[in-house]
Amino acid sequence: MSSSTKLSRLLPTGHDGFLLIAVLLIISVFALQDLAFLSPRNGFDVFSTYSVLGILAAGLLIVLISGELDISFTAVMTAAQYASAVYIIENGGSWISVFAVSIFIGVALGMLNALIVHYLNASSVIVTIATLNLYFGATVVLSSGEWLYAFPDWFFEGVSIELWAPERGRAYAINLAILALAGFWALTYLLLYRSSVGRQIFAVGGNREAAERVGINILRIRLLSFGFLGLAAGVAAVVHAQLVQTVAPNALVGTELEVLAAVVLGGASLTGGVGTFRGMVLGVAFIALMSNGLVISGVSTYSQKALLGLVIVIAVIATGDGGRLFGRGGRRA
Amino acid sequence: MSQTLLELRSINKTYGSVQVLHDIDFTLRQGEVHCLAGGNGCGKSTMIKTVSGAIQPDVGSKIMIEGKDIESMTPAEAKARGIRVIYQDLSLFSNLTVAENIAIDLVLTSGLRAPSRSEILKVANSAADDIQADFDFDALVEDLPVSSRQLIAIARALAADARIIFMDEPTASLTDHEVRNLLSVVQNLRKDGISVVFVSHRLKEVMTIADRVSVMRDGRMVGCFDVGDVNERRLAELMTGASFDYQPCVADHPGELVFEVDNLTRAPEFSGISFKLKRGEVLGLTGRLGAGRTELAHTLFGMTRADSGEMRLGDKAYAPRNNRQAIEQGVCYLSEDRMVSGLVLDQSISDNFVLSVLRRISNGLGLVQGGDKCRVVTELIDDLDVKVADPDLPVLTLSGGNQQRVSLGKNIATDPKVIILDSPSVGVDIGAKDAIYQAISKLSSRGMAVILISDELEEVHYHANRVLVLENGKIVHIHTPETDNLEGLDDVVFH
Amino acid sequence: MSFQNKSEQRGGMLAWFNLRRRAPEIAHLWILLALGFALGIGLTPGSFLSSGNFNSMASQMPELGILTFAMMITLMSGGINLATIAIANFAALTMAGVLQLSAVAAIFAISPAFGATVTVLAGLLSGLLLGGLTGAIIAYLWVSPILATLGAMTLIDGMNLMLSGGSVISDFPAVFAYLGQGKILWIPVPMTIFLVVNVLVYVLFDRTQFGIKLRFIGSNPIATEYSGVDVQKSTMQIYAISGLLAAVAGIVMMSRFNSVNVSYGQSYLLVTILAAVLGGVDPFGGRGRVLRVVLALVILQLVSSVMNLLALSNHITLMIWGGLLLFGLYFLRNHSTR
Repeated sequence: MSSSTKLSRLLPTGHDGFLLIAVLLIISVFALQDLAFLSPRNGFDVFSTYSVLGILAAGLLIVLISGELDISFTAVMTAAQYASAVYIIENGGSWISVFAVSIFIGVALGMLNALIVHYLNASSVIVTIATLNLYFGATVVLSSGEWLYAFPDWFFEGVSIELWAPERGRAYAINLAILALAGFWALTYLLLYRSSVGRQIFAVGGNREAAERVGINILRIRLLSFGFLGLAAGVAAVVHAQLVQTVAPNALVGTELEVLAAVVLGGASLTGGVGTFRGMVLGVAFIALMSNGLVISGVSTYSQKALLGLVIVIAVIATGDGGRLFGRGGRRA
Repeated sequence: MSQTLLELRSINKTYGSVQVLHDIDFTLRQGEVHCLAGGNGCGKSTMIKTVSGAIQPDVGSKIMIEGKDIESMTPAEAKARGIRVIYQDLSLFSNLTVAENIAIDLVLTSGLRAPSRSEILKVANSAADDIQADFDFDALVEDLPVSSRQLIAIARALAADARIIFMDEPTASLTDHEVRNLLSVVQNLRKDGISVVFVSHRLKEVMTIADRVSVMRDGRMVGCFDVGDVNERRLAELMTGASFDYQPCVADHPGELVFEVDNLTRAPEFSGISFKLKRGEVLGLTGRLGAGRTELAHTLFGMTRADSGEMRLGDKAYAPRNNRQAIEQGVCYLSEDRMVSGLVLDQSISDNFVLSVLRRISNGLGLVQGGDKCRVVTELIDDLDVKVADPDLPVLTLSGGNQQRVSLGKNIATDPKVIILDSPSVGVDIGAKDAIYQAISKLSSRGMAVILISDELEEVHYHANRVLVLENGKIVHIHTPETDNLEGLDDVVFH
Repeated sequence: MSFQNKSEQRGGMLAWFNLRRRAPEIAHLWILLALGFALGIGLTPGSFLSSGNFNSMASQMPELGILTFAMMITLMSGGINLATIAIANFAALTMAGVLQLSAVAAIFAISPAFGATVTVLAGLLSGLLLGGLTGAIIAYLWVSPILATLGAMTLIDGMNLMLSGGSVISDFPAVFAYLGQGKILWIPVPMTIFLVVNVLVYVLFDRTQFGIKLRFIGSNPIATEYSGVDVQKSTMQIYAISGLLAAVAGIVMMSRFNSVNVSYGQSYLLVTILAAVLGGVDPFGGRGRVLRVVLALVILQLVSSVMNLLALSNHITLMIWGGLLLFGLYFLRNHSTR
């Protein structure tokens, strides 16, 4: 991360500039089709609906920068959802307890990933493919695959901070999803750029051996980065459950690609040490607006999937890793 | 008489059943520049790792700092005592800026908060001033050349309040200006009471800067000498246990013209390069670092394209578009960085040998003919005298010198007309160096044309028929070892 | 020649008996095999040793095995192919589509065998092309294999859904039923296909120059490039062959069920990675022995059948696969040269 003057920090150039243009392009294309796309209502909806994507992308960004890749977060999320949902359905609970349980599970499973990757000294992709199935399988077995939906009222009502009320229609309010997203993104920013641990994560991702020699504790960094993604999963789990008011086993597993695509589009390298907060935000915006636009245009779900895949393929080609054969960097993702 | 800062007594290190260090004794005085000399596999790196806490020596080994016995040396302990090691790979973070690299220790000591930009710059500036280096602090290290990185690594050690700095081959990639700079920096460190231990095979530099020299061989300390009491020849003898007496080689029966280069130019690396090469001839190419030798070699090998000029192989025009075409047409290149470019260490020795000639040992369907492969491998092993127990073992089980021979063999297998050797004996101990020179003369007597690129004037003087001296990308002098003497060459290159 | 053909001298069956001494790194496989048998016989004595059980074990092996080879080749090169199942299904869909062409129907009327051959060739070609295209993106456009094949998987899965409308396609000509259910010398045709592919893949990896290039690219692509190997071309070939193998698997699946269900086989992806890793394929590239992977496949089929007989839920199965994969990584660590 090279420092820059205030002005150049405002105007993204290079990779981020390209992405910004792409985002503006998407907005224009869909706005032309249906002007409702540009409405504040839709804007708020997009933020809400894709808050989960945004939270997870922030968590995954940290892991990628540290030089690893974790695709088990959807399973971690599912586990956290079930744990916290069961807790509040049976015990009443509150916002504090639902987040506490969910985050506890998320962080614990995330750190377990870190321990396994560290002590097996293995490829984090393969390890997390294994743990994805472990966590997912365990969750379904323990919950008997039941769908949960009888939530307490306070959970149903959510959080609402009203901004303004128009004459017709619903008031514009900040809900739980937007709050959580803003909060988590702020935390991510602080971690990446204002904490010494953040600098250490960049160092480890850039050159793990050198980091060890300088005295950075690799295990600690791994616990922290995988744990952070677990934290993201925990937070996102509650937000998602609140939004759809249901907890189901298969809702989340299988959606890893969108999150990965968003982060990679944003410029994070799979080999580690490279990635920016701003890029991640743009990547999330790209994926979110793209998906949202497709839905509004009435494209069928099957075609949506194909189109998303096509767009991702084109986008990763355009933002290719350039110069590294297969992105191989030794013992990294 | 300055006091003893660091003392090693009876250091032993055993891995399983193999003893790597035998009873090493070593002392380092305050404000001293002490050189550690020895060939590959002599135990230098192991010894350094012991002192830096990266590995633990056997029971009974003693490490003492300022007279105090250190029970167990860990990396943290070593750091706390002011011991810093600059490894050969420099261990820098290419994704971070220069300033962030120099001040990396701040990241570990600044608590929760990240060190601010001004804090980082303060540390970086101070360290850079100490060595009179001029850095663009905001540049990413990955964009900088190796020479700058060397200096950044040294600055980092200084920024971390080192009292004892270990440097592993610090001048390997520095230009003469920077070498002089480095040597004077090291002199300055002495005045501040910092001690420097460096590993270097460049005996000339060793003689210039060291106060004392310790020689290691086969895991043992052969001796420790004041620099005034030894010369380069004696050091070389001690390092290998053998003495070498080279004679300039005479160009016997040079064959017909095999390779011709006419006015080859590639701005700004080199220009107007012209020479003729005959079969069986060894052409030396030397000059100071940065003179353009390796860049020229890359163009000869097809890795880069010249702007203008012509090349001819035999009677045909030679203009390879990539290294594959160069190999096909009979030009080979052995890079000094054999680890990265030459050998694939975890694959078998025999596979490595035949990697460049796969088509020749396979039939139409692509099936490898076992008999052909075996023949090629055995011939190469015999020819180059490679010490190998089982060719199916991975290359990394071989010693450095043997690995170099496998790399050479792989190139020879393609039956090249011209073979370009770029610093073939860097990082190779003197015994293995000799084997390489023997291989070179064997090759040339068989009719292969050899271009020998080297920093070491002795090397080209004693083993080439003619030597081209490059400066700023142009040929400034042609040296004939048969008639000109070594000092003359030295004068031309270093004015 | 002291080393001449050491492996060839102790060739054939003898090599197997020497396996324990020469290959301690698959000791864990023998343990698992024994464990699997013990569990099977212990927990379900009657049903485990029945021919019905062995038949059903053998029925999934061909497609799973060929898909594993498709995964294995990319792992050995230091990459990965997450799109194998998608390509397999796409190949099957291609064949279904080709069968609907009137020209092809005409050929079938004249000679079903020839018609089937044309159809199969179309399927294989589609796999080869998709694989090659993915490989080109990885090799020439510098995209990492994870991203490229993940994107390809999404795209191709999406296309499969669009083309099939999400429904199952059935009613294939009788000749395909023969491919699926027939026997050649008492061995089911799919198993025969698998054995043939097995031999071909073994020869390709162990005895051809392609195999040498494959391993070298997996270990160190830069050094391999310096040595004059066209790494980019080889990479494209690697993924093309992976796609081709996936297509073969797709054809086998289609023949067995006499239908194409594009959501079938998604769970296979994990199992193919598992089989490869258990069989000693290092995900970082450079190593892989066909016979060991086959042994791992047999073990997995064993374990899978035991779980079926015990009527364990799908999700417990997933947990066991996940656990076994970690187990396999543990053993890789102990025998890695890195």
